[in-house]
Amino acid sequence: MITAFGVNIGDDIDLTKIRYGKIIIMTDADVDGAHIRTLILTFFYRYLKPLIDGGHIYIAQPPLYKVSAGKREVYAYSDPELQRVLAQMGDKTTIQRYKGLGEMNPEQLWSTTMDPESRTLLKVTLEDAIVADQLFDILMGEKVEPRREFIEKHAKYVRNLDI
Amino acid sequence: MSDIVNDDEILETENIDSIETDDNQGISNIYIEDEIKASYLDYSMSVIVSRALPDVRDGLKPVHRRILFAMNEMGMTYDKAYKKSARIVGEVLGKYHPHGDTAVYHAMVRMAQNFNYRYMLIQGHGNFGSVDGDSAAAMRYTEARMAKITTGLLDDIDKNTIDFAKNFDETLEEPKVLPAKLPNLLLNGAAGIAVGMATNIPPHNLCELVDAIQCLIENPEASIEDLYEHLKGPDFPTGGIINGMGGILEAYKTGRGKIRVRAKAEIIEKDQGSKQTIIVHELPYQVNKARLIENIAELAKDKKITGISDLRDESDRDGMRIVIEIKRGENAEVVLNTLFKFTDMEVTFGIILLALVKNIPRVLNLKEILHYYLEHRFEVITRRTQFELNKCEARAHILEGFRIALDHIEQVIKTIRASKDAQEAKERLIEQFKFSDIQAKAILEMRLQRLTNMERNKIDEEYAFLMTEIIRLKEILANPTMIYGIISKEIVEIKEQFGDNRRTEIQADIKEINLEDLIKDEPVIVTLTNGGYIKRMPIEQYRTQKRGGRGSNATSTLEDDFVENMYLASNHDTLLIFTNLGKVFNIKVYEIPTVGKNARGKLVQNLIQMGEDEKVRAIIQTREYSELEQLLFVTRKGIVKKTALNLYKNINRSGIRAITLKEDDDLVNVLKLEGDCEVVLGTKLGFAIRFNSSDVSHTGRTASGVIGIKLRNSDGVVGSIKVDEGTSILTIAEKGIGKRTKVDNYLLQKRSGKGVINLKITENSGTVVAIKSCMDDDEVMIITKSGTLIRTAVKNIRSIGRATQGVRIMNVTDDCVTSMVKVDEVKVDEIEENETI
Repeated sequence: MITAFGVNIGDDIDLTKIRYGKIIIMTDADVDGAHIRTLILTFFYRYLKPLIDGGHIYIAQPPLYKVSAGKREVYAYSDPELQRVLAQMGDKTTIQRYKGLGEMNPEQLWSTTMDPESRTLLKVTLEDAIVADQLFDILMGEKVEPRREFIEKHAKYVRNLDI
Repeated sequence: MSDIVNDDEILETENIDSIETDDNQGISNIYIEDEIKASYLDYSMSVIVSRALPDVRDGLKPVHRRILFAMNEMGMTYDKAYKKSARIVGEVLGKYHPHGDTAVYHAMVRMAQNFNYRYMLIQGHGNFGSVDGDSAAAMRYTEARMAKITTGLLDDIDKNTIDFAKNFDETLEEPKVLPAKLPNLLLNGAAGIAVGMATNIPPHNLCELVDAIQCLIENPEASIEDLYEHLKGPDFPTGGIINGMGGILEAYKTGRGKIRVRAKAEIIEKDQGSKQTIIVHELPYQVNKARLIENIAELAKDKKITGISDLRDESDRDGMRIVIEIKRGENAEVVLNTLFKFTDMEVTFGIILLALVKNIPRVLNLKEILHYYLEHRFEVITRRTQFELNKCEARAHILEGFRIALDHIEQVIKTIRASKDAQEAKERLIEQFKFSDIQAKAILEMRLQRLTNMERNKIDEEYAFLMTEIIRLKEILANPTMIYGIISKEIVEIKEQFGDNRRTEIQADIKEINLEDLIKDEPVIVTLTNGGYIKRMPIEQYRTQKRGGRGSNATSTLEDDFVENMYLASNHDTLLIFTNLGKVFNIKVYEIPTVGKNARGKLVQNLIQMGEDEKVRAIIQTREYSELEQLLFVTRKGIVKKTALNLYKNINRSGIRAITLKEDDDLVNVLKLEGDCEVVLGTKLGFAIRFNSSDVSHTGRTASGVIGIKLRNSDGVVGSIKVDEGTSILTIAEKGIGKRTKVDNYLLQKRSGKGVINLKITENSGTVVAIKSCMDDDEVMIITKSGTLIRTAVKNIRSIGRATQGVRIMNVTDDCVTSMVKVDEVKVDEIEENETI
C-alpha cells in the first residue's frame, strides 16, 4: 500500500507525491469485510493520517442485495432500500444476499460499485480527533477490558449480525 | 455527536440515508469515528454470538452444529459406511456455513481426535493427526461419519423439539440448537477467543456429569458443593494429573479458576539404583509432545536443566512413552521436579466457563450451566411429547373415521359409487357422516383389504393403543416431575451406554515438591576464588584433602587464582551475593555445583545473573533471616546503611537493589551484625573511624544511607571490619608497607567524624589498599597487580601503634599491591563441632 500510494509513511509523509486522487477501501459486504475495513482504517489513521485529513480516503459501497424478477435485476444497498425495491417489484422476486465481492461477475461489480457514473462512495472524514484517538485505543489497543466494556455497552446498536 | 461517554444515538447517524450528500456526485461523508465504531461492533458481536462461543444448551459453536446437522441430513450415522471428508465439508459450506473450507475441516477433524475430544463426536478414518501437532491428511484423503454417541445430540431433531432458522441464502433451514440429550458443553468442553472475551471450558467425565445432573434434578436446591461431590473436576482425554482441587471448586463456583495439570510419569531404577530413568506416559491436555521434547532437549543443552543424559520418544501406535535417562548419581525426582517447573510437563489450565445464554455471552457457575441444560431438555421433552401427542391424535382421528366408515360400509360404498368424482364423493361423505375433511380423504384412499375382519380388529387395537398413549402423553405434559423423570432416564441410558472411567487423576495439592526435601541438609564447604569461581565440596572430601597434606589451600585453581572466601555452609543455607553496583543476588548452597576436588567450579556470573562488569563485594551466609540480624553497607564515599537482613528474603533471579548508590560511588563491603556492635572503616589515605553501629538508624532496603566517615578530598573507603574482642586491624598499602594494630588504640567516635590516622601515608608506602580484622593465628594472602602473591601468618607482622608508618611486609618493585585477603579457612575442629550440634 505504501508503495502504491507513493506518499511514504509516518513523519516522512509527503502528500504532494500522492499517486491517486481517491483511495477507496472495498471489502466484502459481510462482517469480516467490516473488520478488515476497521483494520485498514486504523492503519491509515495511525500512519497515514494526512490522507484522511486531506479527504483522500473513501469507502466503496457494494450492494447488499440483488433482487431479480424475471429478467429485471435491481440492487439494494441497505435494508430499507431492499424493502422499497421489494414493494415496487411485487411478488415474484428472488433475493440474493451478497456476502463477498467474489460472488459478483466483473461487469456486475463495475456497474454496481465501481462505475464513477453510478457508484456511491463514502468519504472518510474526521470529526473529533480526541474521540477518534480514544476509540482506536479501545478497539485496537492491548487492553481487553475496555474493549469488552465497549462491546457490552454498545451491543444493542449492532447493525448486521452474521448468522 | 460522537462523544464516547454519551453516545446513545450515534449509530443512527450511521445510516447512509441520513448523511447529507455533498455536491460531488454520489459521494457522502462519513466520520471515521462512526464508521469504525459501527463496523467493529458488527464484527465483534458476530464473532461473539455466532462464531467463537458455544451455546450453553448443546455446547456447540455454529460450525460444529452445522457439520453435525449436515452429516445427519446426509445420513452419515455410525452404522453407515464412511464418506469422504471433502463431501461433508462441501455440504456444510454450500448449505450452511459460508466461510473457509479449512476452518470447517479443522473443526471436523478436532471432533475426531482422541486427544482433543473426551468423547469424540466424529469417527475418522485415515490420518487424523497426532498429539505431536501433525495435522490430518487433506480432506480428499480422509473419511468420516458420526460417532455413536453423537446420536445423543441429534435424537428427536425431527420432532419439532427445537427451532430452526433460515440458512445464509434463505433457501434452507438449519437448527438454532440441537436437542442435545448429551450434556455436551461440559462433556467435551470448548475453547474460543471472541473479541473482548474468551472461553475455556475443560472436558468432563460422562458418568460424573450425569450423576451431577441427576443430583440437581432430585434436588433443585443443591449447592455447588453438592454437585461437586459428584463432578470431581475436569477429565481430560489425555489423562494426566490435576494438581490441587482449589482451582476446580473456584471455577465451579465463580466460572473462573486455574488448575495445574501435570504429566504422568514414573521413575525406573537401573543398575542397582545407581541409574534412574523417567518414563512419561501421559501429558497435560493440549500439550504438543514433539514440541515438548524439543524444549526439554534445548533446556538440557543450555544447562538450564541438568542431569539428563538421554532423551527419546518411544511412543508408537499403542501409546505414549517418553524416556528421559538420568545421569548416574543424579536424582530423578529433582530432574522431574525441574521438568514440571520449566516445561509443559506441567501447565496451568485457566478455566473460563463462558457460554451463550439466549445469545448473550455469560460467565456461568456449574449450577447455572446444568440448570440451562435442564431447562433446554425440559423444553425438548415437552415439545417432543406434544409432537407425539399431536401425531397420536391425528391418527386417532383418522381411525375414528375408519371405524365409522366400516360400521356403515355398504352405505359408504354406495355414496362413493354414486359420486361423479373424488371431490363430490368427499363432500357427500362429509355431509352424510359428519366426517372431517381429513377423515373423508383418508377413507377415499383406504385400500379394499381394510374391509377384512382382521383389519377391522387391527384398527380397533391401534385405536385402543392410541387412546392409552394419548392419556399417557397428556399426563406427561401436565406433570413436570414426569418430564424430569424422562430427562433423568434418558441420560442414565447414555451413561450406561457410553460411560467410562475417569482418565485424569486428581490429587490433593502436592506443594510444588520442595527441592530441599530431596536434598540432604548436610554441611559443605563453599569456596569462591579471587578469579570468581565458586564451588561446593562435601566436608569429607575437604577433610581428606587436608589430611593428604596438600598444603592448606583447599581448592585447586587456575594459576594465579586462589580461594578468597571459604564458607562452612549447609546445603539448605542461602548465600546473599552483593556486588559493587549495590545489587544483591541469592543462591541456595545446593545450587552451587559440587565438583571434584581438582575442578575449578563455575564462574559466579554463570550462576547468578550478574552483569559482566559487576564484581562480587561481599557474600553473606544465612538461613533463618532472624530479626536480630542486620546488614551494614559501606560504600567507597564513606556512606553507611543499616538494614534488617530479613528485608533481603525475597530476591528474584535477576537480583534486587540492596542499596541506592550515589553517582560514582560503589559498594565496598557488607557486614552481617547480630545486634549492634562496633565497626571500623578504613580509607585509602590512611584514616580510620571506629563507631558503634547503633549510631546508624535502620532504613529500608533501597535506602541510600548516611555518612559514616567524612572523607578528605580524593579519599575513599577501602575496607570495613567488625570489632570483636581482641581484634587487631591489619592494614596494607600499595608498596607493600603494612601494619597490625590493636583496635583498642582507635578512639571510639560518633559516626560521621573524620576519623583518626591509621597509617601515615608516605611516598614509600603509597595509599592504603585494604584493611582486615585479624586474630593472632590468622593467615593472609597479599596479591599484587602483576599477579604475585605471598601468604603470611599474621603473627609475623609485628603489632605496633596506631599513627605509625608501618613496616615492610612485602617487597614490591615496579609493582603494587592490589588486595589482601584473609585465608579464610575453616578449621576441621570447627566442622566437627558443627556436625555434632
